[in-house]
Amino acid sequence: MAISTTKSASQEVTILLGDTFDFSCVDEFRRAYEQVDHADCKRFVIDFRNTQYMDSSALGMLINMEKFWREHEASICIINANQQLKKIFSISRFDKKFNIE
Amino acid sequence: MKVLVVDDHGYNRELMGLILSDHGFDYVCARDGSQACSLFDTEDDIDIVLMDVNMPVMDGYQATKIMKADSQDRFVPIIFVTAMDNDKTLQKCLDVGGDDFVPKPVNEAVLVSKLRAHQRTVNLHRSLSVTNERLEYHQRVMEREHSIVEHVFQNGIRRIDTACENVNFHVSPMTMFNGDLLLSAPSPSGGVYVLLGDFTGHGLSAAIGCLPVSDIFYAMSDKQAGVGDIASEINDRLVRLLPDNMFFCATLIEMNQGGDRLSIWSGGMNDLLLLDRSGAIVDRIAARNMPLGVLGTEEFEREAVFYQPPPDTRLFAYTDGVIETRNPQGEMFGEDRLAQLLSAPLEQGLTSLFEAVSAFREQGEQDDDISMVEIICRPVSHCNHSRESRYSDVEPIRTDAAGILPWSIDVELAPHHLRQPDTVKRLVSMIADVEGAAPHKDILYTLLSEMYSNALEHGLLQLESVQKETTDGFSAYYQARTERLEGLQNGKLSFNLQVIPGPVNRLQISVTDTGPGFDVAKVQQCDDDTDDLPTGRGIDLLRSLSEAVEFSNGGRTLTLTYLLD
Repeated sequence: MAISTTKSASQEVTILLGDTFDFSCVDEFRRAYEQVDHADCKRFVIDFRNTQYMDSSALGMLINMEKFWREHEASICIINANQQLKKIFSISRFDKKFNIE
Repeated sequence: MKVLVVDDHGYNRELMGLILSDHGFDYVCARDGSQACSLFDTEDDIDIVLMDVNMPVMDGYQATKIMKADSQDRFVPIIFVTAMDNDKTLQKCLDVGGDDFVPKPVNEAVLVSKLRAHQRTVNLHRSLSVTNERLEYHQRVMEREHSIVEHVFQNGIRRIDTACENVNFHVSPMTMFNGDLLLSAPSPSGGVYVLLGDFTGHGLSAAIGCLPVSDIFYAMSDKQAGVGDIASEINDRLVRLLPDNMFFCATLIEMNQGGDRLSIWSGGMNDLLLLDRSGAIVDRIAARNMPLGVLGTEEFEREAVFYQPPPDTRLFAYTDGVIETRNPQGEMFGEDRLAQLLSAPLEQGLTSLFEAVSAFREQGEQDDDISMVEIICRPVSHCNHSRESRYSDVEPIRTDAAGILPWSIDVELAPHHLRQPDTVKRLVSMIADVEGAAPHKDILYTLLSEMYSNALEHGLLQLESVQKETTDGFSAYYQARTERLEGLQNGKLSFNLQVIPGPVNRLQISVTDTGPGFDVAKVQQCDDDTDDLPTGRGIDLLRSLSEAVEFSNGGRTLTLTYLLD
């Protein structure tokens, strides 16, 4: 699904996800965070406002992203996830690894 | 023009009749006041009365009094024709309601001039009455239409859809209809949306745009749409709807549940003020865009501004009416006075602020709608917002005496079905409409897609999860998935979904693949710590979300039960 990346504030990058965040987005999502300039990003915001569906491969994608950016010391923050998605995050203990608003 | 001649002398009546017909007047005669009154009563096209004073039966004074009393709704000048020219008589003529005098003996030129002068007054009066009647008619029509529209507005616009402690507001329309619009709604993720806007003008014409705006606002905030997207949608609608000279200045704000993240789209509005705990203005957010309803879709800029306020920051937004209020000297309230008031603690909050603005106006009338809203940036509370609470409005079906209807669906998916990208979504939409299942749609998607992926990838396509443990392997895994699925000739997945009614209804889902199966005991043993791996969450997720998960049939069948509570 369409993923869009915007630089929202100084050293902050927002990735806006589409309706469904699942294995079909693997490459697109990876490109979205790998192409960002390392020197100029301290914080990622992943915006789930449009996302209704997610599967476990989505969790895998987020883990990969976290590993990739851990080296560059950028924080990752998940915003606007609906209650159902929040439930999945908490079941998967993602709240320990990610900042979920 | 019809004249009533009242005189007890036949000679006088004859003489005046001759004069009148010579000059093209129509006339009728009466020989005393009493006869004059009944003629006046029956012939309602009499325009002017020439009245003698002294007559038998009823004199001119008495007749004049009666005629004037009877003709409240028509204007008929009464001209006294009298030989007496003492002040007392003349005064009495006027006192009883007479309009003018003509001396006796009658001079033709004077009489005709007077009649013509009064005719002009009569004509003027008539056209005024016609205009008045028309105005009264239109006023009645308008009042009726207003009351209909008011009814529509009251029912059509939910102005504030949330009792959220973080949002305070004051709205003061100058007429029954408000050109200012303040809307607020909870967001599905627990935050809050606010829209404050001002249509050009005020009253009904300005208020009319509020209906589509509020519809779009509530529909889109319910889907957690971004403020820029909501603005864009409203813009498109208003461009089509409003005449060129009308537009909508507006600010759209979304605050997250944590109260530490604002996204704002603002067009044509005053600067939003950010105030710290002490009330000092720490920042301003200027409107970066044109008002809504001006630009076409291709020119419209939907980019929002993001802001991360420190805790307890107050975001204050207001419409023009606040700072453009004038005192009797013509001076405007202005932004400086506003800033000064905001910096001091307000006893009654925004109401005090509004009172201060009203006091500044002194005796003057409010000449614009006045609205203001304040959002307090701290974790959002007391919003009646969560998805759960909304679904709680739905009658729980299991309390029905008959209970939920038992149902079962079987779906067999062949390779060409499995190659379709939206198969899981189609499965979900099949069952989401079944009674009891709708509120669980999102979780059902996760469950079904997990079971589907598991059966397809490991059962039919024989892919190994281990491969996913590195980032490149992760991508390669999904690459291989695509390739193997493309080449898949045989095999199928069979889904069975059924509802088992009970005190708590259960949904049982099972999927069977036609692959070789696997050693269930072996897989279930390797329960090591996968926290840092991008894989191995699927089955855990199924276990956590459902009541029971079980492999059978040599690993080919996976069955789970889910509580439809």
